[in-house]
Amino acid sequence: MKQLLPLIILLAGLSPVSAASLDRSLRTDGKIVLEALNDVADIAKKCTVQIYNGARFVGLGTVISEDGLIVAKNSEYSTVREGKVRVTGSGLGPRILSARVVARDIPHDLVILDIDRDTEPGFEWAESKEAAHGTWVVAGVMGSTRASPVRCGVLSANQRTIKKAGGVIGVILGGKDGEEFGGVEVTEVAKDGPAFKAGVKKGDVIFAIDDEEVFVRQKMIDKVKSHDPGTAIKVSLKRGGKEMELEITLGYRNIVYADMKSRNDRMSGKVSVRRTGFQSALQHEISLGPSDMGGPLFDLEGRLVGINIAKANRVEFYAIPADAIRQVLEEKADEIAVARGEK
Amino acid sequence: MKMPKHIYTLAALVALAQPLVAAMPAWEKEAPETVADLLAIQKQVQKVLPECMAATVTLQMGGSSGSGVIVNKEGLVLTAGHVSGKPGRAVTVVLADGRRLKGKALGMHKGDDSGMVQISDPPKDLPIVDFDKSKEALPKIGQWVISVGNPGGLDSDRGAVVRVGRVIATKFNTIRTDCMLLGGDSGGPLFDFNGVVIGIHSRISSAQDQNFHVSMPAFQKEWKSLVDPSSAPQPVKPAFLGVFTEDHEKGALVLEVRDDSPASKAGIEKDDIIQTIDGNDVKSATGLTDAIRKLTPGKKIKVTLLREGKEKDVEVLLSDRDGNVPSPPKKEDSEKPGEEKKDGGQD
Repeated sequence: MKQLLPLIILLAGLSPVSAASLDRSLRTDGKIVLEALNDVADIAKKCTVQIYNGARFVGLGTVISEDGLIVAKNSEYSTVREGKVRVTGSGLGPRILSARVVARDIPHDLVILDIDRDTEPGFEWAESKEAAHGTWVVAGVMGSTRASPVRCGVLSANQRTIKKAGGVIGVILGGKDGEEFGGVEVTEVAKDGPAFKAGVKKGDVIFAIDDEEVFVRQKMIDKVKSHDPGTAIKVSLKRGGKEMELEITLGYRNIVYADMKSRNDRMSGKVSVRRTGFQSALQHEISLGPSDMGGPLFDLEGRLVGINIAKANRVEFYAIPADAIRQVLEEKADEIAVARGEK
Repeated sequence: MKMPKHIYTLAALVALAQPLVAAMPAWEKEAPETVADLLAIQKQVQKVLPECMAATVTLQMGGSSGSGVIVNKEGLVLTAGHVSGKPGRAVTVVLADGRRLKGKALGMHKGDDSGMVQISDPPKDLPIVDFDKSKEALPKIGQWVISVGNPGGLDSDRGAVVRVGRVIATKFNTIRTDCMLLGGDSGGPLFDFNGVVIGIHSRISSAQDQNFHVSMPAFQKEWKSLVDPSSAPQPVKPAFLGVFTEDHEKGALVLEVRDDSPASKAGIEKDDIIQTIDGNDVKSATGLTDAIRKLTPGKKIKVTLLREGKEKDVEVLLSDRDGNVPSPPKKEDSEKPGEEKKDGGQD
C-alpha cells in the first residue's frame, strides 16, 4: 500500500485541471520552472553584481573580464563622485569593493567600471548571430536565499536600433503660434521641469532655439527633440514686450511629465529613465525592474547573449547584444588602459 | 539462445512503454524539468510562430489602434469588441508585411469583449491561421500558450511582439494567462502550441498576472451577431410617457406635459396627480419614472389620476422618447409586461 502513494501523488500532480488557478511556482518564471535552469543560475551568481552610488543601491552590473571590469547602465551613473561607487556580489566574495568609472559609451548607454582585481566572469560569449523570436533567454537578477538569481522569458521582437525619444524642456504649447504671431506661446510650465527651473513663465512666447528662429509649434518641438536629455539649449523668448535668453538643460520626457503619464505607462509601473536611443538592442519579455538593468542575459546554456539595458514598459525589455558589448570593449580598450594608468 | 518467457514480456513492455514516454511532449509536463524540456518548448514555439505572426495584424481606427488576427481567406479578422467598436466604422488593417488593407467593423459583444472586422477586398495571398471552433472547451490550466500583438501600437521596425506563457485560470468567456499584455495588444491572438487561436487579448490590471483574453466559446456563442450585427437583437428603448412631475403626498404632480407625447394624446394635463399605473401605486416623481422605464414602447397602460379632487382613469399608449410606437407586440410578449429584453442574449 505504501508503494502506491508516490504514484497517486504523481498522477494528481499531472492533472491540475481541477485547480482553480495555476500555482505561482508553476508559472512561466515560477520557482519550479526556474529549477530547470540551475546551471545558468550558478553562472549568473558569479558575474551579477550590485552597484551602489554612495549609500544608494542603483542597479546591477555584469563582471565582463578576468581583470575586474564591470559593465552597467551608464545613464544611471551620470552623477558619481570619485571613490563613492561600491560593488558587491556573491562572485566577488563577502567584501564591498570600491569601483571607478573608466569608460562610458553613450550610443549603447554602457558604463565600464573597474574594481582593480582578478575576477572570474564564469560565462562564455554567445556566438554573434541573430536569434529568432521565441528563443529562451535567462536574466541574472538580484537573488536571495529564497528567490532564484535568474528569471526566464523569450526573445520577443526584432533586434534593432531603438530610436531616440529626445529631451524636453517641460512646457505645454497650447496657444498661438505662426509666422504672423512671431513665436510659440507657452500655456503651461511643468512644475519643477527644466523650463520651470530656468524661469520660463506662462504666457512667454518662444521665438528661437539656439539662435534659430522657430515660429511654428511642430518645428520648435522637433528642434528641441533633436537633442538628448542632459543637453543645454539656448531659448529666446518674449515676455511683455521684452526679449530674453535662457539656458535650459533638457530633461527626460517620462520624468518631466511624470504626472501626465500615458495609460500604458501607468500600467507599466516604474520604467527605466533612459529607455530609448540604443544603437542596437535585443528585446525580451522577462518581467524585470529598472534596477535589474546592467545585469546579464544568457541563453539556456549560460552563454552571455547581452546585458539588460532598459525596461521600456510592462511588456518590452531591451538588452545590448553581446557582439555590441565586445565591440565597445575593443573600441574603448585604449581609453580604459589610460584610465587605469596602464598607458 | 533461449530467453525465459518473462524477459520477452519485459522487453515487449519496454518497447511499448517507450513510445508512450516519448509521446509526452515537454509542454504537456506539469513543468519543464530540464534545459532539454525548455529547448523542446522553444522548438515547438518557433515551428508555429512564423504563421502565427504573419496572420497577426494591426487595426487602425481614427486615432486609436489595436491588434487582430485573420482567420479565413475571405478576410475575417477576430479582435476585441472594444477595438472594433461601432459596427460599420472604417478600419485600416495593417498586415505583418506592411501592406495596408481597407476594412470595416462588423459586430461586437460588450460583455464578452469579442469583436470582428471584415477586410473589404482580401488579396489572394492573405495569411491566415486556424481558430478553435469549440463551443465549450477551454484551455487547460497550465497549458502553454503564445501571445502575439502590438503593445503601444504599430512599430514597423519592431514588428509584432511575442510572449510565451501559461494559462493561469479560465471562465466560460475569459482566459487568464501570465503573458503580459499592454494597450495596443488588445484584439491580438493567443495561440496554443499548434498555432491555433484560442483567445483574443482583452484587458489587464496593473498586477502582472492579470492578463485576460476572450475565449473562443465566447466568440462561438455570439458568432451570428458578430458576423452580421443587424441580426443581433436590438436593444429595446425604454418607454416614454411625456410628463414632468414633482413629488406630491398623493402621488406625482404633473408640472408639464410634452406636446405630442403619449401623455398629451391620452389627455393628461398639468396639475393632474398621477396615483397608480396599472393598479400599482405611484409614490413619487422618481417612482413614476422608474415604473415607466420598466415598460416597453407600444404597451397600453391604465393611469389613475386625481384631477381637481376627482379620480379619473385614462389609457395611455406608450412610445419611446422619439415618439415611435412599434407594431403591437406578439401575444406572448404582452403577457410579460415590464420585462426588460436582454441585450445580446448574455448568459
